[in-house]
Amino acid sequence: MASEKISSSSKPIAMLKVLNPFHIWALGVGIVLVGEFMGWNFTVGKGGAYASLIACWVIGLLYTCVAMIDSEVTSTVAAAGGQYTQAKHIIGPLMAFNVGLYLVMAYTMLCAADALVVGDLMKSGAEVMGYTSLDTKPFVVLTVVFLAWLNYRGVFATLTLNLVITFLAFMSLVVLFFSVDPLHQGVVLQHEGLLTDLPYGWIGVVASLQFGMWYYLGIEGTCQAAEEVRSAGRSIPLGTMGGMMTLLVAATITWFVAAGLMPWQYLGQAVTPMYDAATLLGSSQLQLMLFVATAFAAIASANGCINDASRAWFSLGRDRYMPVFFGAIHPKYRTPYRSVLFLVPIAISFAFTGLLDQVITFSILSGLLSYTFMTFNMIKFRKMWPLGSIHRGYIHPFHPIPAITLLTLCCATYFATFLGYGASLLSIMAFYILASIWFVLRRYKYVKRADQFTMPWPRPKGY
Amino acid sequence: MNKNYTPPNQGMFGQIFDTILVLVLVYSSLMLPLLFKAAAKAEDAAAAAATAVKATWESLGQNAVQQAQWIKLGYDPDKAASLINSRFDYTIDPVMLIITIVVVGGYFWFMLKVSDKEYREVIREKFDNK
Amino acid sequence: MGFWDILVYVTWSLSATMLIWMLVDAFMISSQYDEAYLMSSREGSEDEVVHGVHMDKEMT
Repeated sequence: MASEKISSSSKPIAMLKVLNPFHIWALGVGIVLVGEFMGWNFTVGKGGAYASLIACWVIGLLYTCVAMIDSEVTSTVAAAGGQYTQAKHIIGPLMAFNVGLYLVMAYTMLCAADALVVGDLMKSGAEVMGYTSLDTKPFVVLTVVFLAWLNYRGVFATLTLNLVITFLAFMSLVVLFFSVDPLHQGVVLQHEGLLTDLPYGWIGVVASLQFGMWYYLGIEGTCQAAEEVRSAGRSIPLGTMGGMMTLLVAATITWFVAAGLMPWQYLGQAVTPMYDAATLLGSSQLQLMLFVATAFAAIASANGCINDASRAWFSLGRDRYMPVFFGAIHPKYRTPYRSVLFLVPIAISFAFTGLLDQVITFSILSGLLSYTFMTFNMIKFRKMWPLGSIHRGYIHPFHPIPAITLLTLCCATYFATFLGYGASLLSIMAFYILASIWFVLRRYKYVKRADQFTMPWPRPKGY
Repeated sequence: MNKNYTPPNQGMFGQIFDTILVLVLVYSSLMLPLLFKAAAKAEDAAAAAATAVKATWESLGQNAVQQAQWIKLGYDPDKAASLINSRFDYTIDPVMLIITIVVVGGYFWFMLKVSDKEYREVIREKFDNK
Repeated sequence: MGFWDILVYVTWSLSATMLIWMLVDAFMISSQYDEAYLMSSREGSEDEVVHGVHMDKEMT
């Protein structure tokens, strides 16, 4: 039986290298942009409108550090798995296992939240057209299954779709900005009347940092595409930095428009704030545009998440950190098809738990844990392989200031999560601690030791 | 030089078991905070019942511009009151804060420590026993 | 049966079709190809551009 099968007569199998910097931009921004259409406004709920703007820029600084650090390490360690592979080469196996889990969890949970948004949008669309009892479940499932199917069939079509719909969603924010007559206060925008003092004082500003991550969460996922992009060392820093600039602009526009139209108490709990903003403007064209754009943003995000989560899960499988079964690549489409398929029921089940805020907190916290890791990672990377000992595609300036800034901001964001979401924080930490103990005691024995280190680097200093 | 470590191969059953185990852990940590929340919800409901009085825009502290936007959004004072009056409680419980700091700090300390030990073994195999 | 009911049925059947297609395809691949071949991808292999020291040659 086995002899009839096609086997490794020729070269080993590998993923297709077909992507360019625009795809990287689309992967990064695509995942995040949905955050400007929903979710970012929870910062307003935690600290008021001004707190949200401060959080937007402070967390923007956090992510600028992330993008700088990540670009340097990724331009040198370019492999599917991204930060997971970095951790494996620089910190060690247990850290790598945890980073792999952060990635899979952050993206799968985010994908579930995105699919829920598509479902809710369909429901409110149906309500506008006079049908009030639409079941959201089929649309949630279709979103996940359709995007998984795209991902299964090949990365090029997947990310080209993302490029188109992400660009359209971004343009809709720009159109919205110009349609509120931004230069003339009081005509449409009412900042003077609507903006209040900080309702919780400065502690509210700190507390709002938690959801401030929603403005940018996922931009670091760009390096998951490292095995599929042409000249990764150049494309990934380019796509990531470009994406970061797009997001800073988008986040500021979003805040400006929304804070000028809605009282903060409403904004702080709205499910689709930008769609509500368009509704307030009273133009049905704008309303339709924001409806479509929100859907596009959610789909682009779910799409990028499936792409990133499956690459991370695949890499864990390939190194036997997770069952080796998931380390397979499709011989025709060259995608990690088993990982893609495996994550479909998981994402759907997360969406159906009905615990949206819990799922979002899990996603944010997994992201935050991986940024904390980046600080140790960067400092050890420069120490173990000083500049000049290996070739780096990109060297970020002012080391170690970005790493220290990042660590400080991470600590502030843990504290922000503690304010209001302390129980979730502890239960999520319990998950990672139990998973780590299990890895050390039961799982690591299946891992080949030296095979994990695949970079052609000299021996690290001090080891 | 000592021999390189050769890992055992994991059977199909073991692979399925490990996958399910991780999933069970994830779902339990998603569900766990619900236990805390159920208790907090009951308290909230009691507090809300106690403060239920007829709300007006003035009693909610909304100025003319804010009122106009609330009305455009389809809210009357009663409906808006639940949004305006629900506030986060940012009083810090020092014991909980210390527990959280110890948990997060301890987690990273444990992880760096164990990772370093495992990493030294990887480097030894990779560069010493070619 | 109104438009929305039909839409819900169409949505469910599209999801089912794509899911079954993927499952069948994954099963066919497993029966056609050797497992060792499917698993044969290696991190950082077959690639002259991206990794560390190799990059010097690429850049110059």
